[in-house]
This record gives sequence, C-alpha cells and structure tokens, in this order.
Amino acid sequence: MSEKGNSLWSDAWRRLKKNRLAMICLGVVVFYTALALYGEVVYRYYQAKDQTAFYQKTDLNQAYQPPSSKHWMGTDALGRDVTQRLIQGTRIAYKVGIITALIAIPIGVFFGCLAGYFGGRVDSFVVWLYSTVASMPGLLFILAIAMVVGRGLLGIYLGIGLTTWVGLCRLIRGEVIKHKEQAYVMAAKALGLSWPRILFRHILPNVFHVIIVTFTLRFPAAVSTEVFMSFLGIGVVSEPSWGVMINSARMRLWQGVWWEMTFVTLAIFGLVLAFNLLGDALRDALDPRLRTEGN
Amino acid sequence: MLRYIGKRILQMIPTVFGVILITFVLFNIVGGSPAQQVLGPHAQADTLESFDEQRGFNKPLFIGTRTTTRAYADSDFERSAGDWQQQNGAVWTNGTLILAAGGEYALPVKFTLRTDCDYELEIEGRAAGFPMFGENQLKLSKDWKKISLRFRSLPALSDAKGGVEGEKIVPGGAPVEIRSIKLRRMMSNPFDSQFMFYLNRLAHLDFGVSYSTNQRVSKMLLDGIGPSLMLTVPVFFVGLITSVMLSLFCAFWRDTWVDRFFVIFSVALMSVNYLVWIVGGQYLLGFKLGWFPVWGFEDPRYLILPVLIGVFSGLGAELRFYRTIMLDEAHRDYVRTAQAKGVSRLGVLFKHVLKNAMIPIITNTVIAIPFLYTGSLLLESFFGIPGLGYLGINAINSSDVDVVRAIVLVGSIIFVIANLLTDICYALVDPRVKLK
Amino acid sequence: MERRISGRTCFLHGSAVFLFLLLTACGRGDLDTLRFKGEQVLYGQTSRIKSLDPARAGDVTSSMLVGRVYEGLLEYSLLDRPYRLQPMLAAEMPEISADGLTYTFHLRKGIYFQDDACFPGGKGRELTAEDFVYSIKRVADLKVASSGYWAFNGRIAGLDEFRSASAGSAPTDYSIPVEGLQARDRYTFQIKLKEPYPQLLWVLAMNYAFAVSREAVEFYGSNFINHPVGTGPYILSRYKSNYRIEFVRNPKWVETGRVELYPSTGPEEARAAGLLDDAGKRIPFIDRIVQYVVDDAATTWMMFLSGQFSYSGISRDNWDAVIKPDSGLVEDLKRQGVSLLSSPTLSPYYIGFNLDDPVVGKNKKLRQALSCAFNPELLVQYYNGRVTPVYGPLPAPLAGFKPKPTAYSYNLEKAKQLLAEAGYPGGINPETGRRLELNVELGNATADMRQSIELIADMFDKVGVVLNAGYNNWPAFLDKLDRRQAQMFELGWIADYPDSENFLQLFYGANVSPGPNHANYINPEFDKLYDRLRTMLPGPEKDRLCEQMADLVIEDCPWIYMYQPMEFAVIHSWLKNYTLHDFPYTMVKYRRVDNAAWDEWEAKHGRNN
Repeated sequence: MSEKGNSLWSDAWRRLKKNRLAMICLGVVVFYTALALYGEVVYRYYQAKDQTAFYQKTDLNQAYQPPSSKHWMGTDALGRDVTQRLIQGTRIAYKVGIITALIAIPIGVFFGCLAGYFGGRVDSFVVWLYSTVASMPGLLFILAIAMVVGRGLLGIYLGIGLTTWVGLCRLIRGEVIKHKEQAYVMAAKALGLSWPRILFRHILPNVFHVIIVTFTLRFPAAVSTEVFMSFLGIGVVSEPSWGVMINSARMRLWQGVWWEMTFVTLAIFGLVLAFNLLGDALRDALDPRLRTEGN
Repeated sequence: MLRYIGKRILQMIPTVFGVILITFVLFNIVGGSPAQQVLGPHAQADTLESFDEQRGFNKPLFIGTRTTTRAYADSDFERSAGDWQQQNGAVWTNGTLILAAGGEYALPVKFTLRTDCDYELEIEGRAAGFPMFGENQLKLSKDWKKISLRFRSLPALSDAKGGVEGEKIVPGGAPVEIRSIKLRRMMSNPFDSQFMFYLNRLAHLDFGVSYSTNQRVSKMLLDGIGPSLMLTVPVFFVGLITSVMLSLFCAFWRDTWVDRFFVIFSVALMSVNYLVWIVGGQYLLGFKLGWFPVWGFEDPRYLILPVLIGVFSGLGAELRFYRTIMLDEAHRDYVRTAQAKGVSRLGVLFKHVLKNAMIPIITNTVIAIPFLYTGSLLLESFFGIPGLGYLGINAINSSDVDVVRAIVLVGSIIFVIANLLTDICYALVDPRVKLK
Repeated sequence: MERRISGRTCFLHGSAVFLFLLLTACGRGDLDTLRFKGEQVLYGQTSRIKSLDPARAGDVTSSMLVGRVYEGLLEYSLLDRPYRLQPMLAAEMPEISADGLTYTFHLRKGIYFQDDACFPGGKGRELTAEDFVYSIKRVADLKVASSGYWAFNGRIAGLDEFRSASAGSAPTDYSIPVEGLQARDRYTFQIKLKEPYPQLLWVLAMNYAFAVSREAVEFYGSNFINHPVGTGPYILSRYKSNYRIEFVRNPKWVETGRVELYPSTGPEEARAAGLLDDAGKRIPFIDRIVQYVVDDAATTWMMFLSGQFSYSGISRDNWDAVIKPDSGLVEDLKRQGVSLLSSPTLSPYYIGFNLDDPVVGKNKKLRQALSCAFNPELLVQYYNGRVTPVYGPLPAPLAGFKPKPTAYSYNLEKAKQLLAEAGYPGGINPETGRRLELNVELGNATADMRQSIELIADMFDKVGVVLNAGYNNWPAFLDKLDRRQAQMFELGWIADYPDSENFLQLFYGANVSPGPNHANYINPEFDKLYDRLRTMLPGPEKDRLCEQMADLVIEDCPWIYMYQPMEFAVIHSWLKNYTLHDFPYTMVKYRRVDNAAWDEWEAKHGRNN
C-alpha cells in the first residue's frame, strides 16, 4: 500500500516536472515562501529582542518617497519602507492561508471521513451540517463571523476557516465512499482492525492528494479574502497586511502616489496566480477526475 | 412524484432549522446586546434595560431560570471596587471589599429593581455566621464561601441586627469581607428565552429593527433587493454568455496556443484582486476619462461601469469552469463519431458539444441564482447602489446585527428553496433521480 | 471611522470630523437633468441617516436633517461669535425668574405644522405650548429610548417621576402632569427646574427640545422616524434610506404668510466675506435639497472635482493636492472659483487611561510619563497642520483652555525620569524583565486611525514602552469602555453646547462608566468643584473655577490631550452664505445657490468640455 502511495506521488511529480509553467509557478511559490519565512525571522527576531521592528518605525520626513535605491518600492504615509512591509504582508498572507487551512482541513476531513465510512445517521448528520453551512451566503457569512468575533487575525481565521471546509468535506466523503468498497479496506475489516485505524491509517493516505490539491487552491482564495477583509477594516489592522496597505494607499493614488498600490497589488497578483496555476497543474497531475468537482 | 416532493420538503426543514440555529448562536451568543451602541454614551442603565426588554436581550439564551440585569453589573473585587468605591464605610483593599461593622449598605443598583419578579443575590465572602435572610437561612462562615439569597424587591425590613436582606447588606457587629457579588433576575418561565423570542419573531416574519438606521429590517431588505438584482442579474447573464462563448472558442481551438493562452488568461484574470478592478475602474474610467458616472444610481447609465467590472472580475473563474466542461464534452465518443460522419468542426461544437454541455451549465446557473440576491458587497458600496450588498457591508461595519442576520438568513433560505426547486425539476425531467 | 457615531455625544477621529461636520455638499453634473429652470437646488453629500425623529437623532447627520423640518424655541445665530442664541419659535428670549428656576417662553403666534395626513383634513394646525410639553415628555419616555434624556435628567421638576412611570409594557400615559413642564396658556410655555441649570437654553436649542406634534407620533407609530412632520422651512419629499433623501420648501410658510429674514447684522469679517449680501431677504432661498449618502472620502472628492458636488471636506490624503502651505488653494481650484473655509471645532481628541486599570490606573507617575512622551507636533505634521495641539481638557475658546504646554506636555527627558519614578526605568517592567506593554482600544480601523496610532506607538517607543492597538468595531468598543475593560482608549468629544461644563462633566465622579466619564476618574475635590459649577451662571468666577478644575485634571493625567481639529471645507463659487459653525443644524435655510455662477462654471470647466 505504501508502495502504491509512493508511486502515485512520484508519478505525479514526474508529470508535474514536464509542465514547464507549473515548474515556474513552483519557483514563484518557493520564492514567496522564502520571503514569508524571512519576514517571520525578522518578526521573531524583534520580538525576542523586545524591540520595535524597523518596518514599524515612523519618520514623517520620509513620507511618500518614490522608489529609489534606498527604498526600492518607496515609502508610505508614515515614511516606512514599502518593501519591508510588503514582505511582512507576505508573512501575514501565509499565516492566514496556512492557519485557515489548518482549521478547515481537519474539520472537512474529519466529517468527510466519518460520513463516508459510516453512512446512515452519521452521514445524514454531516450532510445536514454541510448543507446548512453551504447555504449561508459565503462572503457575508465570513464577514459576519469576523464581526462578532471582533477585529483582528482571529476573526479572519475563524471566519474563513469555519466556512470553507464544506467543499473538501464533500470531496473526501465521496472518495471515502469509493474506497470503502475496495478490497484493501474489506481485508482490513476482515482482519478486525479498528475503524479509526482503517479510516485514518489506510483510507486517508489514499485520498490525501485531494487534500493537497484543495489546499493549493484554497490558499490563494484565503489570501484574497484576507486582503478583502483587511481592506474593509474588519481583518488585520495593526500589522502591515496587504489589504491594509491597499486601503492606505488607495486614498493617495490619484495624487500620483502609485508605488504602494502598484507593488502590493502586483505581489498579490503574483502569489495568487502562481498558486492557482500550480494548483491546476497539481490537480491534473494527481487526479484529473477532480477537475470539475474541485471548484 | 408527490411523495418525492414531500420528502424533499421534509429534508429541507432541518437545514432551515440549522440556518436559524447558526444565526442565533452567532449573533445572540457571540454578539450580544447592541443597546449601548444604539442609545449612545449618555444612556442610562434603565434605558438600556428597557431596550433589552423590548428586543428580548434580557432573557436567558436557550433555557434557564436566571438572567443578568443591568441594574447591577457583576462585581469582581479582585479587579476593582466598581460601583462600591463611592460608598461610605466600604473599603476596597487587596481584592476584597470590606464593609465596616455597624453600617448599612444598599446594593448600588443603577435603577429600582422590578417588583414583579424575583431576584437572586450571590455573595462570595467571609464573616463568621453572617446570615442571609431567605428561605434557606444560609450563612457565611469564617472561610470563603458562596451563598445566595432569593428575594423580591420590596422595601427591606430594616430592623435586622445584621445580615443580607433584599438589596441590603447590614454587617452588624463584625465587618464583612466580600470577594464578589452577583445579582440575577429570576425568570418565571424557563422557556421564555432569547431563542424562543427569536423563533417567535421569525414566525411573524419580523426581522427586527436596524440599530443604525432605526428602520424595519424587512423594509430595508425589500428596498434593497431591487437595486441588487439590477446589478447582479446583468452581471450574471453577460458573464455567463461571454464565458460560454469564450469557452466554446477554447474548445474549438483546443490543444493549440489559443486555448493555452486562454487558460493562462483566465487564471490571470482570476488572480487580479477584486479591489484593483473597482478602484482602477472607478478612478480611470469613471473619473479620469469621464466615460461613466463615478457614483450613483439614477438611471441605467449608472449601472454600466459596475456591471462591466462585475463581469470582468468574474470572467476568469467562469471561463475556466466552462472550458473544462466543454473540453470534457469535446473528448467524448459521440463527438468523434460526429466528426467522423463529416460534420464540420463548428457544427459539432454548436450542435453537440454545446447541447450536451447545457446540463452542467444550467445546473451551475441554477445554483448560482440564489447568490444573486445578496448583490455585490464592494461594487455596491463603491458605486453607491443601494442594494443588499451595500446594506450588508454597512451593517457589518456598524455591527447592525439584525440586518446582517436577516440578510444571511433570507439568503440561506432562498438558497435552500432554489435547491429544492432544482431537485424537483430534475426529478420531473429524469425519473431516475428519485432512486438516488 | 465610524461614520454614524459622529454624534454630538460622540467620539470621532481625525479627518472623520471634516467629513461629518461638513454636510451639505451639493452637486449636479450628471444629475443636472434634475434641476428645473430657475429652481435653486442643493445637491448634497451626507452620511448614514439614523433617524428623522428629533428625540432619537443623536448624531450630527441626523441632527442636520431633523433641523430642516423641525424647529425649537431657540436657535444659534448664524454669524455671531462667540456663539449666541436667538429666539426661533419663541417670540423673544425667555423670562427667567430671579432664583433661576422658572423659565417662561412666549411662543410666536401663527406658526403652523406642515400639512400632513396625520392632521384632521390633512391641514397642519397651529403650534401651541402643549406641543413643547409633549415633546420633552416624549424624550423622557423610556419606551421612546431617546438618546437625549441626559439633557433633562434630574433638572426639570417632576420629569424623572414621569420617566419612572413610563417603564413597563403598558403604553405611556402622557396625561400624567409634569410640574416642571406647563402650558400656561395657548402660547405660554413654562419650565420649572429643581436646581439652577445655566445650560438649559443651550439644551433647548438642541433637537431634543424641538416641537413634534402628538398627532404625527401617534398616526405613524414606529414609522414616525420616516415621516417627519414639523414647522420648519423644509418638508421631506423623498427618502430612500441609505441612498438619497430629498427635501422641498415647506409650502405652509407661504400659505400662512410666515416671513423669516436673513440676518442683517453681523461682525465685520462676515460682511467682508459677503455673508451679509443677502441681509434682510426672505429665507429660505433654496427650493429643493437633495442629499446622497456617500461614505467614501475618495468618491466624495472625485464628485466635488467633477462639479457634481459643490462642497466637500478635505481629507488628509487630499490635502497636499488642494492646499499649498504658503498660498492657500492650488491654482487650478482657484481658477475655478473654489474657495476655502476653515474654522476650529469644539471637538478635542484624547487618549484616556482607565483609572480602574491595575497598571495605568494606580500609577499617576506612569500616566504623567506617557503624557510627557506624547509629542503633539508629530500629529500636527501627520494631519498637515489641520489640527492644533491642546494641553488641557478644554478646547479653545472655552474657559479653562490652556494655550501653552503644561508641566506634563511633551518633554522626553522628563518622561524618562517620571517613568523611572513610576517603577519602569527605561520602560522595562521589573516583573517581566521586558518592556512595559500597554493596550489602547480603538473604536474603528480607518487608515487615519491606524496610522496616527502607529505614530503614537512610535512616540512611546522612544521611552521604551510598547503600545499595542486593539481595534474594535464601535459597539464592541463601547462595551469595553462600559465594562471598564479598556486599559487605554482613544476618543473625541463633540460639544453638545459651547460651555466648559459639557467637557468637565467628563471627569465627574458620578458620570463614570457607563456614563461618559470613561476614564473613571474620581477626585472628590474635583467633584466638589463640579457640583458648584453645575449651577453657576457664566462670569469670571465660573471661568476661574473652570481653570482650577482643568489644573486638577492636568495634574492627575486621566487623559493624554491629543489635539483639536480645524474644520476645512472647499466650496464651489455658486454656493452662497456658507459658514462653518459648530452647531449648524438649522442653518440650511440661509444657504443660497447662484444658478448663473453654476451655469458659467459648467460651461467653462464642466465635464462635457
């Protein structure tokens, strides 16, 4: 079985490698990830040293400097370096993407597995749960959750995390139902293995690719939602999130202060594009059947 | 057939209930009462309480016999002396309130307690043998202890030598040390709860009153739905037609650079942030070039720019979706057969591929229709279209709970009903569905 | 910025003020088809409308709209500074008894409510003294949930009892007499007070004391907020909440021969500014007022520039493009005939300390240190000089205002020294060994709010203290203040009336949270002085008292005094008689639109060229 798993992954990797566009995107993703990691290191460093980080230090005399060799992407309203803040924005985007996934994926997988494996009442309950959540108007529901939880990252995490598990749950449920009938599960049952063991040790690894693909496609969506919410002032506020930066930059745009707006939107565009293309390629490589169902 | 419809309607009920439950939990439990926001910073506690009373916020959540009252906020003397600091003889030190011997201390309530219901006073404190005059005659001891007293607010019998009586604490011969005091109002009917209040209101189709505009929410929804649809329906259909056309185009040129270009193009379109479309569109096309009005909702001209932006921002995702469907169809056997029979490529495309792709297209369309109702949050607020999206954003920004809740609730119910209708239609068309 | 909260009792931030106080932007451009020949129309921008009920209009926007339809006994004069009241529906200023407890108003005769379906035969009836009795009782009615009861609380004989009687679910009985509110005859209205209330006249000029008709309240019930029925210069003609509101001239004025005139006297500056050109002419000038609810500052600005709005505030971000530091307006706007108005506002901003908080509350030295670390000049720079520093709890020009820095104004050395004395040498918290971390709670998350707090955090950073910002939505913020959970908070206070008392009550012991004393400042000495101030008539003694109270507060540092904003506005050439006023609620009747100037602008600079 592990062999089967391995070959699936190495097959997929081989297919992926042939796709030049996907490899470029992978490179871009790696680059962004490195930026985010660098941002995290900087953030941690100042935390540990108990100092205010340099990207938060203000200097009104340096406000609105256009791009130069000193400030590659210029400075913002308080004279802070846009490049550094952009990197911190990457860190926050990653944080949001990953943490919302860490909330949504376990919920989706857990319910999906249970529903698919047990069927009957458990299944009915799970179907009820996800059809209830799915019938809520998406973005508004996310905003409503963030509204009652309060401003800040927590609201974003919970808002996005608690609403986006439905798609994955459906997929996993379907996959588990398929796998349940397969010989290896039958055999495991005959051996008298306990259901958690069968479900999570044997079936789950075989549907893992669904999770990977979902994650890759969910990630940019979560980032976009975060940008949107922060822009509205419901999301991140005290840290340089991309949405916050766009919101601040927008007001000055028509006066010719184009750099903050431009670079931030380019950064978002790059990240989302790379993830989307990579996600597509992964899906094609791992399981082409997911194509129409995935979104 | 009727049985099937009946069954589907029955299945709908738990979902609707779930939606009601979720909205209740979200807004009543996590959200709480908006009284202060509505009534402003000058508001007195009795006004706030009266507000809560009118909107059911002064009841237990689901079921319960006790509820908080604004007459007295829970005192936690470990944090602060709260309202006791102005009382003579009451000393607050080291997280304890000490009531000196011989005094008489009325609970500093913010308004007179109601006389038509019972209250419960809970005191955590110590003072050897200090009694509470209630049914159970509980006493404090020399160790920290919590005791409670149930009473109805009546003029206290003030000849007591020491003890707690109604809203009054009389320390008698020795000082009393207190760590916390809580006052609860007792409910005569434990089911008289916020949830029942909510259900009852919904049963009367009463969505409440907006806190920020003081309008009836049902009226606001009715007012907003028209402008929303005027925006979303054109966006939807123009988007649908454009993307289906383009996807056919892709299918026609499949496996060539044209198709590949469109794949990347659609993902690129998807990746442009929505904000960029709006900010850029309003600034460039509306203001700089003056092609469209910047803001407003006076005549159809005002809708052109928002609709264009709406179409463009959604085009990427739709194009990608329909392209996949078209290609799936284009790879089927019957297409190859048709081509073998000598039908032209274009003919195959329109006669066969499009026809067969209609089913997933229509399914997708029907599923999307309920979402038209909520309008577009950002487009509406940027262009001043007074629809539900605008309403929703504003309500969220001002924590206008009843409005947000109503929009979410009605949206969900429309979705559920649309689903039901779709299923019934399918069942009518294709009897096999029922077997599933 | 929480737009809706820009109330008189409110808390605003930064440029929010400019947007909110500046209401009547007018415009056309694309809307010009709606201007009929010869008609004067004012197209305006407004923010979210909360209520058109005088008893429930607690924010600036609603008050402005209420002030079009309803009228009160008194109003602010348009041109006089310092602010002065003049009779509106009263025939003259009231007779005040020698003990200062009885106020007798003689009403003008021949004032009619507008025609409305709520009156018999649809014809508006004459206003009488009973209407004022009813209107003020209504504010006291618990079930009305008025935001204005504080203005009468504990002052008018018998009103508090009426309020208690209105509790419970039975309909309020308005026939219960209130001793302090009496209609002596059809045109004589008398108020009896329990104690002298020198601010009463200011309060009577607020919308809470405007005359509503009982017929309308009862006829429209809960829909009364959408159906204003008043005696004022305008009547509501169309109202689409959240989008557009339209008023037209009240025909009842012509029908009943009511004549109101533009003021013919005023200070020299007003004459020079052309504000007396219309002296003695009949008002109102404008036939129709159309206002759009526009939230976004950038949108408003674009609409102003394209001539759709003839009036706009200036947000921080637009400043550089509009104003040159030495020469005022930029050439381009000057050429278009745009003019710039500015005036200080009575709305200081501050950062409050919660004195119930174990860290900042019990440590006066710490508060003083932070006050000394706060550098108002940076905020002045951030707001392009549109704010002026304040060094005490009172704004200019009220009594007790501090024009010069005090002992606890910006002084970095002193801040460091005080911080060490407070037990945090170098900002290090001895308990944790790390820098002291403080939290400031904020009521909104607009760019201006965020950036100004980041600036302040940087100021505190200079003495080694970390300031973390907690962003809340407005209700959550209020809730934290009420529960005394905020360690520090940023607020503004917009004057309800131009009297120092309105600001000093923010430090009164009995007003602690959930009252407006959100710092929970309790100082018995201060309270004693305030008790004297409450009933004191204006005069040098009162001014001295205010001064003394301000000094007490400054020593205890319950607030860090941030700034007092200037209000700026740009107007197009065709809008006349526009002045900035802290209490502009009934002023729209003085405005005039010059159609010729408008057409000329349109021809030269309009969009179609």
